[in-house]
Parts: sequence; structure tokens; C-alpha cells
Amino acid sequence: MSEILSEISAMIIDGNFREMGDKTNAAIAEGIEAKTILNEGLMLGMDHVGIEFKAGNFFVPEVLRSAKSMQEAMNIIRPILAETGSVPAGKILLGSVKGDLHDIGKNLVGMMCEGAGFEVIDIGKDVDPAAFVKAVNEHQPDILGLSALLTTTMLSMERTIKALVEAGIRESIKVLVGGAPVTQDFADQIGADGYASNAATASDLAKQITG
Amino acid sequence: MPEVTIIYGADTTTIQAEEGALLGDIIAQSNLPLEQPCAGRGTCGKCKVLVEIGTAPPDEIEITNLSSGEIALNNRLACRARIQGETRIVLSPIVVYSNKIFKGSSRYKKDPEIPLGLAIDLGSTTVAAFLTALDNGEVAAGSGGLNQQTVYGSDVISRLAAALDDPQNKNRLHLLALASINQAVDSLNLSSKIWDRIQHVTIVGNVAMHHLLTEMPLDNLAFLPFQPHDSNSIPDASAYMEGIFPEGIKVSLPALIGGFVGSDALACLAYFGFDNPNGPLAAIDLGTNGEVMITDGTQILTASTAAGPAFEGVNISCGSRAVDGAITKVTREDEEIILTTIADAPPLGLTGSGLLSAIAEFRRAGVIDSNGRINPDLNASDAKLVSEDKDGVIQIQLKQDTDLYLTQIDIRELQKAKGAIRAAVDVLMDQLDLAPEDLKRVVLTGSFGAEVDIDSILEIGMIPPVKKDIVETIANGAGFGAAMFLTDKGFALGEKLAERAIQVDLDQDAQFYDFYIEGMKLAP
Repeated sequence: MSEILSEISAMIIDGNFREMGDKTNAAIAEGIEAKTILNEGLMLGMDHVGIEFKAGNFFVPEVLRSAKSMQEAMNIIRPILAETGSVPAGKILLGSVKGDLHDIGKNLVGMMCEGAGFEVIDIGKDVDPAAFVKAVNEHQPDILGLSALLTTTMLSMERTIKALVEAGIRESIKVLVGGAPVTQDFADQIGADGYASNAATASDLAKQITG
Repeated sequence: MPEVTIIYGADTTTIQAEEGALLGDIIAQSNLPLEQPCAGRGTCGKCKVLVEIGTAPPDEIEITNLSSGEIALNNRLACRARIQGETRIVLSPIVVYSNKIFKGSSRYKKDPEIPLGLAIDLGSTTVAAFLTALDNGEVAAGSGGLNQQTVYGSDVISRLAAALDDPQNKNRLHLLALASINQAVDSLNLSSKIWDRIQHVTIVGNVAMHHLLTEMPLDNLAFLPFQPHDSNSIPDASAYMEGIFPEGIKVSLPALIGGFVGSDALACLAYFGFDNPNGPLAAIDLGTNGEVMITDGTQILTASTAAGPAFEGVNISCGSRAVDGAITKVTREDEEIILTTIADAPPLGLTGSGLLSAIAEFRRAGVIDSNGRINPDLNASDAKLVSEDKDGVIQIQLKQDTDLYLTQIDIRELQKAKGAIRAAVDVLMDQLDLAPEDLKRVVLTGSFGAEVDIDSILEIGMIPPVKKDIVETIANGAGFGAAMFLTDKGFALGEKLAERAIQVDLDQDAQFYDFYIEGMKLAP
């Protein structure tokens, strides 16, 4: 592996977002393909961040800095990837369910998934079931991720899944759920396809499903 | 054979029983927890249950050992009550705190002319009752126990969800609130002569506690906009009491502020003097549901923030509630770690204050860095403390030859709780345009807040950097404020404060997110 790719990887891990843009441009100037920068630099770094996050060694602020570094690099290579017809690992639609105004956890999931090579569309918080249905029709994602932080708003997850069934599009996507009060039992009970207890596990699960 | 249904929070168990069988024996068959330490003599009261239908009338022994309030609610002693026909009971944890929460003057005992009142702090975890002399407002004694609603979950949101799920649960939560109030009052051991002198009762609590007590509609509170159904005071709330207090005693519920910020916070505002402060003042009620109150001298802003249960030692790998042997303080003297425990008993686990003090101490020594990470490059003696658990999580051993560890994940739990409190303080300070040095006084209250080490709080930055000498810890702020509301003058003050205090929705503040992330740092 070229030295600059391991430097990029290390910059993701260190959350060095200020120098990320320059380093990415330098890699392109060296003639390294955008896809290689993504797979062998950025994603490798985010992978490591995910492992450290699960063990508690990295925490929310560190992961956010790493994600910001990822963003800086993606802003440069995204147009090149699109031009060269490079396909993302999959498309993920994310939102916090109706009645829920919390989004830190959901944002982390989005960042980790983007770091795993997914295209992520975040439709925000307090999203009602009809809006989820509309967005699924519009974006045709592989995975729909639902987030809720309250025991009471968790019930909106069930309503969202019902709305997908009624709209006849439930089978076209995989639904993953998460948030502090959510459990595997609850996910099974409401007919979700998967549950993850943290952002790194969510991105692992997304890879498993689409892989 | 009659059917016995036992309701234990979300779990319902049905058992066939012989007519006349002892209720306690039937509950024992269900494997649900029921303590019967006095072995059926009817004296300890630990096996109290709420009977919804069924059972034979109580015998003499049972009647003698139940208070009139308990009889009004149809509380029964499972060790004495016998099955009669189809039976349905509600089982809940009965925990009376053995130590009195507060002991004040006994002046009221000497002068039988002094009228008395009861102030109740209906907390989500602890329900406390305070006997108060009405002539001068002095609190004479305080006692309490566990809120029996915890059978439906330790957080208020789970209880709201249970009540929304089933109207019968809603009624049960109302009865469990009353049973917990009974239990707190009974633990004061008031004689009938004292009861005769009690004229007034005030009950304060957060909005969820208030609405569950009064069985108000919950849709507004559990879902957007997360606001009370009705925030007005209820000067005569006897109708909600189911006869637990003798007739002629006036029961009042002071006003709520807004969001989840209830009359307990209002009581704190009154007790800490927010109506007439000596300059900018901040008060923080540290608990599972943290409340933050700040005034710049004119405007009063309040917010509730979900700190989570880390402060109660819950969700901590070696966490413990405040029982004998629970670690309340961790210090180091020449490399040796010293654990201070309740009753000097052998160390069991960390309470919230123990967790805080451990993290502050290891932070001081550089074993934990300002991002909260256990330092991977330690000197040889510190490195001996650090190991990996079976899941690869780094941990610090608290004492040699014990299983007591502080793990990296535990530190993260405290950081989240502390970040939530700090972010709420920062948002309110920002909205009031206050800098830390503007604050003239900072009060920490709540069962956890009253026992924390102020140095630790400042060092890890749970509150903004202020001089240590302006920070004070005050126990029972809500209970003592509720005692102030027992007089007409005090009640009127509460009404005025409720009108003035503004509740801020932290979620709606554009800067909350940044404050929260920044607030998770372990630095002043």
C-alpha cells in the first residue's frame, strides 16, 4: 500500500480534518484512483474508528472529528467517483421517527455508514410514517434506518413499518432500527429486519445485509 | 378453583389457587419477588400488595399493621390475606430507607398547639415526606422510600408508555404513586395525636409524576410537543387522593413549569430564593432526570435534561445503589487507592458519587485523559492497574484482589450524563447572556447532588468553571420548597414563580448539539 494511503487512513483515525483536503488532493496528484483512496485509505481508517468506538476507546467527539475528516475527503473525491461510474456499497435512508427530536445517534449511524462506503440520505427528525413512505419511493434505498430515543416514540417505528406494508413497499427494503430504548426483542416484535445497539454495529449490519 | 392474577409491571401471571390459600404462598409460586422477613406475623409490612379484586376481609392482626391510608387503597399484607374468589393483585417493590432523610428540631413535640403540615416530594426514584411546623415553616423530620412505580421502569418515559398502553396500567400507576406516598408518610411514624394536628399536605413532582398521580391525559407529554396537559396548580386535590389522608386535611398540588419541569423544580426555585436572588444564580437537581434552573437576576429559565441513570450507579459495570458497602469516594495516597464505603462495609460497587470521584481521581493522576480515554501510555505503577476484560474493553482495577473495576464504557456513561447536564447549563447561560464568572451562587441538589464532591464536579467540568466557594450542595431542595408551599404566603410565592419561570426546550436550541459534544470532555 502506498504511503499516502496509510497517511490518509491515519488522518481519519486521528480526526485531522484540517489537513484532510490537502492530503486527498495530493493523493490524486500522485495518480491514485479515487476509488482506491476511498477503499484503501478512508474506509480502512473508518473501520478502525468503528472498532475503537465499540470498545469505548473512541467516543462521540472523536468519531465526529473522524467523520468530519471523512467528509472533507469525500467532498473532493465524490464528484470523481460519480464521473467514473463507481458504485457505492448501497443506499441507506435514515430518519428519526415521528415525535422524536433526537438525532445525535442517528447522525453517527449516517457517518459510520458513509465511512463504510454507503450513500446516505438523511431525512431528519420527527419524520412521520407517510414522509418515510414518500422518501423510500423517491430514493429507492436498499436499507431504511429508523431511530428513536424515547420509549414512547419507539411506537412510531411500528407505525412506520405498517405504513410501508400498506404502501406495498415493505419487501423492497430492509428496515434497521436503533436508539437507546430499542432492543432486539422489540425489533423482532415490530417486524424490523435488524437492530444495532451502536453506530459501528449498525454499519457492520448494513454491510452484512447488502454484502 | 379461583384464579389469582398477579400484575408485576409489564408482566402478568395467572395461578390457580385453593379457596382460603394464603396470598403470599400463591405469589411465591409465581417466582415473582416478594419479601416476607417477619414470616407472616404481619409486622414488617414488606409483603404489602395492592388488591384490585378478591381476597377475604382482613383479620385483626392485618388491620393493626396497616395504616388507614393503606386500608383506603386496599393495600393488603400478602402474608395474612387469604384467597376468596377470583383475585387480582398488583405487586411492587417495597423499600423503606432505614435512615431518616432529615432530622430537624423537635420543638413541635413540646408544644401541641403548633399546627403541622406534610410536604411530599414525589420523585421518580425516591418519595420523601417532610413533617413541617406551620407556625414558622421549620421542617422537623423527613423520611422516605422507593417509588413503587419503578416496577414499570426506572425512567419516567417507560411509565408513561405503560400508562398509554393500557388504561388499567394508568390507574395502577396512580395507585402506586399514592401507595408510595403512604409509605413515605408512614415511615415518619406519626402518632395519632400528631395526625390530629396536620392541616395541610403539599405534593410536588416532575410533570410525569404529577400527571400519573392525577391520571391526566398523557398524549401531550409523551409525544410532541412534550408539554403538560394542564400546568395550573390544584389548590384542593383531595379528589385524587382516594382517601389516603384523613378527612379535613387539605391537599394541594403546586403549579408545573412546562415540558417535564414540574412543581419539584418550582419548589427548588422557592427554596433557593430565585424570587429575589443576590445576583445571577444557578441550581441543578442532579438525578436521572436532571433539572437546571438559572436566573440572571430577573428572568428565570429552566430545562430538564435526560442525564440517564449513571448518577444512581445504574448501567455502570460495578455500579451500586446507596447500600452498605457502596463506594462513595475514591482517593489515592502514595499510589495506594483508598475506597470510602457506606457504613465502612467491604466495598461492593460504585454509587454515582463514587463513580464521579473515581473518574476525577484517575483524571488527576493522568490515568484518564481529558477525552475520557484510559491513557494507553502509563508509567509502570499505573499500568499495573489497567487490564482488558474478556470483550477487549480496557478497565482500571479499583482495589487489588477484588473484582472491582472502572471500565472504559463506564467512563463513557458518566461522560454522557455529565455532557447532558453541562449542555443544559450552557444553553440556559447562553440564552441569558451569562458568562461563568457572572454567577454569584451555584446550588447542587437532589439525592446525588447533595453528596457530590465539589472539586470533582469542577475538575471534570460538569458545571461551568466558577470559583469553588460559590458552589454549595443542599439536600432535599424540592422537599423543603414543598414545605414552604404549605402556608398561603408560600403557596402564593409558588404561583408567582410558576408564572415567571420559562421552560426551554433544549432540542430546539441550535447550539445544544455543540454544547453537548463539547460538554462530554473531562475538563473544566
